[in-house]
Amino acid sequence: MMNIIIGQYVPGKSILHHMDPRSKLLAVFALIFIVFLANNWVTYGVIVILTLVAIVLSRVRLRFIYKGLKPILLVIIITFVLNAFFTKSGEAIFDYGWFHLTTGGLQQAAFISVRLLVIVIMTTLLTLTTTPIDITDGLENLLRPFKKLRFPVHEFALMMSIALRFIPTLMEETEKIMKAQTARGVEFSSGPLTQRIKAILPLLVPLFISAFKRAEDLAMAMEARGYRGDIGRTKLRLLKWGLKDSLLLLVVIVLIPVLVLLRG
Amino acid sequence: MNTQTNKVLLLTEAAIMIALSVILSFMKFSGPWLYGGSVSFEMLPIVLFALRRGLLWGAISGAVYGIIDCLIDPWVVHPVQFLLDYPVAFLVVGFAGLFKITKAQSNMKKVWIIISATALGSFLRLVSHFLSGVIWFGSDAPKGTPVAVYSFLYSLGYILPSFILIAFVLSLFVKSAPQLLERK
Repeated sequence: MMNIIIGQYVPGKSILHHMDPRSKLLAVFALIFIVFLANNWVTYGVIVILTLVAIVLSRVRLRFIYKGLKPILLVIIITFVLNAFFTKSGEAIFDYGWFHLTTGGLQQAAFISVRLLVIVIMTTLLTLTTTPIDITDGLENLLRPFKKLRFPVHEFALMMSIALRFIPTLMEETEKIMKAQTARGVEFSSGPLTQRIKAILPLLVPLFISAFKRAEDLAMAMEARGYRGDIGRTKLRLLKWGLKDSLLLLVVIVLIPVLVLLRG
Repeated sequence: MNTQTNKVLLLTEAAIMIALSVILSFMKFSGPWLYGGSVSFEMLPIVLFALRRGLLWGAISGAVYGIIDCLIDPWVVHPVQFLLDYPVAFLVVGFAGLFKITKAQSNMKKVWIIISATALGSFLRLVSHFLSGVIWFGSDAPKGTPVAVYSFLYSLGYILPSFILIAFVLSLFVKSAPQLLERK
């Protein structure tokens, strides 16, 4: 039961899987901004090559990457078409009535589509190779400086970890209640819409009541074990920063001046 | 209960509500919401928690839910879009906590408070998704595209049905489990 992994994570042994979540988070965060520096074929080329290298290093099957891309493909196609036909610059390739296809428009469309694809692939690679709980640990560690501003970093991370830990448990509970209510004659998946909406009530009420009970038990258990915030707390999962993490950050840092020099 | 216990309880309640939101977000009502956003009960636990524990905790649980939602199913195309579509979109749902339900109120009044609270949360979330669409799609679509209209209609398309569903189901709580909604 504890091994159910929610989200997109695909277990693996690649370099990207073994990297520290902090370096991956920092790199993706920076890259989302850096991608906007590209504005010509050379700079976009550099970014595309880096993205391809990242895909190869992740050793995640392309099927999973495609699954992450699917919800966004339509948007990319729409933006491509809009830009291709409504940007008027460069030589005309095709001109008929309302449709004007120009070299400038095509280039603009290609650049924007590539940028969208690259950002989506970067964030997908992060969630494909890092479990949500690792990302939470990484975020808690990276946000430590904000503790000085009295931002409750530890509490935020704890809330995230508890939520992630209890998703499978509560999912099981939801299924149990659904089965129990189905046995009593409630129909969840058939019948008219109004009937199905009303059927959600005998599911939600017991679910919420037991959820609040669970929260109370959990708070009590934490108290009994002497929980008092992050003072003197030790960690079960320790983050390890290695050479490959420093290398990743170095690549990202070097990328900035390279793109600035090469951009038109 | 002392104050420390109370704080731990608030923390665990918020966490469990976030987990419920995630589970409810998996039960989607199918529709033409191909990219980002869908009709589901995902906002319900946040609205309920905001009514129960007030604006601050409602907003906190919303923001954390937004981040987890992004970890589970990311849809990121622009830095500002990430903020407005995930943490901010659900943080503002917590504003439902401006309203308060107490034991003394009549059932009719409770239902009106639920409708207003859900409407406020949903409206603010709509604004957040709308702005996000205007900002990122506006930067990617060519000049002259009616980006604002598209963004508004698209967001309205899934938030309005979600609002109706959630307000309706939460109103049914007034009869069957009012203690869950009352301010603690």
